Amino acid sequence: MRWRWPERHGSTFFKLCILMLLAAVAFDGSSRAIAQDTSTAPTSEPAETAGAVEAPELPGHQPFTTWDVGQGIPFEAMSAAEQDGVMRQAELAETNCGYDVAQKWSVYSHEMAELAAAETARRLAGLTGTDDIGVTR
Amino acid sequence: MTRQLLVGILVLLSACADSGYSGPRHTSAEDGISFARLSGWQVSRERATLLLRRPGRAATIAIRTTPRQGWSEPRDAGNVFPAVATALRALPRAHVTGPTDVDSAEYPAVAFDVDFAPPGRGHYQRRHVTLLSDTRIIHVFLVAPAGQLAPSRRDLDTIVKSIREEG
Repeated sequence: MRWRWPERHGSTFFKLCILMLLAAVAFDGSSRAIAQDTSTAPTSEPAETAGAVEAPELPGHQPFTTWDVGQGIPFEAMSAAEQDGVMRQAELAETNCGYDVAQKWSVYSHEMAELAAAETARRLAGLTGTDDIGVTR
Repeated sequence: MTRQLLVGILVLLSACADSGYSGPRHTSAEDGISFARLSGWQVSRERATLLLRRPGRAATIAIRTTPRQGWSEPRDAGNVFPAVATALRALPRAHVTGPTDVDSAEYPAVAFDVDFAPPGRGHYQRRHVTLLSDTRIIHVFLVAPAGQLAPSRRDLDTIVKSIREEG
């Protein structure tokens, strides 16, 4: 009696083969992707990036990540309100205050420099304390 | 004859050119100077400054001296005169003209004219002369309300011309 491959088992076997083939292809692709990812990672932190889970590439800044993570939005692509907000934030970061306060600080520091220069000049010339001499009324 | 005439002219010219003061003098040992004693002016000393006031006049003549030594660099005309200009420009709402050379003094000297306005005190004028003697910086200045400087200007010039280092 000749052994025959049961048709029911045969179809299962072929399904298993196809699944294994697909799994092999999938493994091959993912390992290639990981290899590519590690080759473009920053060299300063190789240990962290090698085992890190790849973050989804969503536009904009991702919460709880540094600003260089993520794709970012080009300034030109922002709305007018967003552009205004970014510029305001940049100005605040630059001066630690708004334009008005920066102007006042500039004037104040200029006056302080003038006062210091005048005091040095008075000491050099020996005129300290003579400003109000003769001012009687 | 011609030689004697020339010598006579030279003596006469030198006598005319002599800017010295030969009248009575006031000496301040503390400040190391002497200067013409002007009739009608009373001399006092406040805040290391000699003050001359004359009853009936709103003007004050002040004399302040300071040693040329004791600074990080030598005090000379190159840094003292610009420093005086800076100090005068720092007076409230000051307008400064000068420096102009003062030829009548015994030492190298420059003068500044200042208009200034202390807050709530009206306008004032100040004629400020700075002399550089051998060892001292000598400031002589006349301060008066605007328009009242002129009557005392001649007395200021007499003091500037007569001031001399002592000791």
